[in-house]
Amino acid sequence: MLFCHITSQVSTDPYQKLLSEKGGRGFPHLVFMDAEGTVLASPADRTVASFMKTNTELKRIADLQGKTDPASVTALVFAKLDMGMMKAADAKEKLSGMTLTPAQVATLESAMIDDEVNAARANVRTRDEMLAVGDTYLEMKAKGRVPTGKSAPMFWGTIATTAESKKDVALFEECVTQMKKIAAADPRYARSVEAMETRLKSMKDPKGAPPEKQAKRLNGG
Amino acid sequence: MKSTKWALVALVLAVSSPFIAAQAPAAPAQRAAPSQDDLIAKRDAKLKVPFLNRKDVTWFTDYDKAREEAKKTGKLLFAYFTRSYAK
Repeated sequence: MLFCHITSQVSTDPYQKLLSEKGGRGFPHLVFMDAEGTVLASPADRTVASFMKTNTELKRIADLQGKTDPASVTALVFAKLDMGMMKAADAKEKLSGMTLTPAQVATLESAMIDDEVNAARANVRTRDEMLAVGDTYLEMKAKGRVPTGKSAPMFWGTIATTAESKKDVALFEECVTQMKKIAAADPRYARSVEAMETRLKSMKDPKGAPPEKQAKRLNGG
Repeated sequence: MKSTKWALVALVLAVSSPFIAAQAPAAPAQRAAPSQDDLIAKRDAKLKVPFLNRKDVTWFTDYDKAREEAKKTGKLLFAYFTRSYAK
């Protein structure tokens, strides 16, 4: 069922704070909700494919709910994990004692790393705080805890900022290489790579750096 | 399922249209607060946009009615949040 909510600022219109209540921070905002109005999931992006994938996954989750056989329970947990409806730690707990395939173990571990990456970046407001997160990510990297999932762009982008701050060209180059791999699989990151390459050029040749205003624009600042 | 797919296609087209795209979050404007009459007129204009008035797709704009219908039919709600107060 399709529901369109209009924030009108008309004083007599009800539910004028519904957007923020449902997790929205800007317009447009798209979510799937149950009949009670509980948010179930949000499409990853504004494409038909993304809408259909989310819709299909939610239907699959609905079909799996209530089933008690191990295969269904496991499938439900992984479906919820994929949709962001369950934290990796909770999934791990639910799956303890279950027999998992090597691929499922890898997916769970990847989700644990994603959650760790996201938790470190939560509530970061200042540049100094972000640079500190970059150091945290470098510690994760040293321990081999490198995300390959949804948080990978944020992970490498944040480390790149820290590398730039430390004038560590080699580390920044590594970030560019990783972002190129991400962009090869997801073209939405092509512009990020382009901006990072400009920053790298500036790091290697500060004299040839673009004027500050242009650099800020390229860096999204 | 087919009708859902076409509804989603319609939504994506609507979301991608210049009319809707123009409503991306903007920097807070320094201007006088609009009157309630202005806001009502803008809301009413928004309710008349083509994608909300297609004959082959039903859009609920009343949250209570949408939830009531979802309960009755056992379906999920796909919610699109937009605004009418901006220019």
